[in-house]
Amino acid sequence: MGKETGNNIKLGIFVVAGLVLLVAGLYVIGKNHSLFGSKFELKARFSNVSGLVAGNNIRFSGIQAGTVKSLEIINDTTIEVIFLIDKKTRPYIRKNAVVSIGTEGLMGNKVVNIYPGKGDAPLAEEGDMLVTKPIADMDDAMETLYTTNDNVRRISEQLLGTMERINASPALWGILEDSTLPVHLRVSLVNIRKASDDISGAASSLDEMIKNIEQGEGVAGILLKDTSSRRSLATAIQNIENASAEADHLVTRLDKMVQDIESGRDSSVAGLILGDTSVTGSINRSLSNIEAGTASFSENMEALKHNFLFRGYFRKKEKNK
Amino acid sequence: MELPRSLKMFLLEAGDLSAFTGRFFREAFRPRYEWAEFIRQCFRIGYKSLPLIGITGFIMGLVLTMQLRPSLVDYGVEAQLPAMVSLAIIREVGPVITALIFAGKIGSSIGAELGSMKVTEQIDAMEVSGTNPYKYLVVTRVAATTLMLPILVLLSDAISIYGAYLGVNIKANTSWSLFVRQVFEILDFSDVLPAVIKTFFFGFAVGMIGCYKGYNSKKGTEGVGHSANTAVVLSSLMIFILDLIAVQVTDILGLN
Repeated sequence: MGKETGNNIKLGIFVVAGLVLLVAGLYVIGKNHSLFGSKFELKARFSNVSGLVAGNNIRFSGIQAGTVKSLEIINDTTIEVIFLIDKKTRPYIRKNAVVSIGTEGLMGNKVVNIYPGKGDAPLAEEGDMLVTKPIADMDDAMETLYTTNDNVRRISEQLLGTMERINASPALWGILEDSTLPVHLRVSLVNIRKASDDISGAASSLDEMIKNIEQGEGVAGILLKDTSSRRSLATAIQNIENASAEADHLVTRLDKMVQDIESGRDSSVAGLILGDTSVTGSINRSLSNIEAGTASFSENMEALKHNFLFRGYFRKKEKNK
Repeated sequence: MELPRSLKMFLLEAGDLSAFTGRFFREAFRPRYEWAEFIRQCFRIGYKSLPLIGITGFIMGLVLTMQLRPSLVDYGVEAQLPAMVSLAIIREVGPVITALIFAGKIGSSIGAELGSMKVTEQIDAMEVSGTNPYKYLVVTRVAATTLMLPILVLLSDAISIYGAYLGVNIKANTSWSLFVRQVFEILDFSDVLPAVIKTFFFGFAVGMIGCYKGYNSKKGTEGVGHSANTAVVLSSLMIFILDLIAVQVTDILGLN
């Protein structure tokens, strides 16, 4: 009898263990599907639910917050989804929360995501309709991917064409295969570096010059910075302008005079000489006569030097020199 | 038209088994109830089978995990290993493997026990002494197998999942709490309940076929061995047929 009682106790433990496992398992599954605990309902309307079914999970900012209770077709473009949300998340869901339908992982079950809205809003109440965000489903993603793919294909084709042209270009290959080119390039680089150094030196000199000018040193500095010099320069320029005006006046007068001479209106000696052609001819003749006379006089003077009467005088003069 | 002999024998067997099963339902709900024998059988069939079922369940979970891992690693979904293994164990592997082990241990034992009682005319003696041998021997055993197998399967599932946890941790590092969370995250009532319900049918089939084969044992001691053997073979086959029916029914009911 004692052994039988012991066996019965063991059997009891065995059966209770099995039943506890079953009940505990079912409870945990039920809890995961939000079957226990107090809840409240929220709604949202979608144009496409992408395969969402009753029982799918709801996440609030990524945390399990309830399940989908039911889906109802309102009209041809609207589907109303009713959510069962755990009361413990109620203090966090506001009226401006945004609802979207996503996927658990890449290929998993559909899931409803509730995100907090921007700004402040009162807390959501039983039966409130939340704002929805359009679903970024796989079809859209594939379409975008298709466009991207197409662009990549085009770029690849163009790149291929470019490469073919590069390969077919003897000029380019001539440049690339020219062994002297690197040497020339190196020399050019050295020259460029030198030029750069020179430019740098020139720039520093220029900088220094500008500094000097700014400090009023040198001619340019004085001109630009010294106010008294500037005034003198202005006076000088004014004087030059005045002189220029007078010169202009003089030229005008000279011009008039020349015109008068040319036209013979001038009755002065100069005008007669320059204007009358007969006077000019007389003068020319007189000059020729004077030249001939001068030559004869020179000859006479030479003869006089050799005359015994005056020879002593000239010898004496020579000695004094 | 003369039916082939094998077909005729099959139909005869099927008819006899159906009548034997019908008798169970008639006898089971009619007093007087053999509680003491029922409890004794539950202890023998259920509790005593636990070590064997536990060991096989543990190995099953461990091996299944280790076998599944490379494929999941290839697909880059190694993180889904606990969910996949537990789903496989709870839905199919646990109930079927446990039921097959159970059929091997209990089906043969019942077939041999009742067969030897039959050939030694103990059953006839019981009838003569006024005890209903069907109620005392068959109803208690079939009820015990029907009720004990689901409990064995639940315990086996739990041990298998622990084996799977160890299997996951051989090449990875997962905490027990995360593992359990992942397991229960994937599970739904539609995974657990049909699996539990079908084990009642498995248990009933194992007990009923074992009892039928033993109760109708013939040809002396040779018949006892034959009864034990056919009880195991037929109940194993029946487990798969019932599993097929169960999956069809759950599919029709939309629970898959």
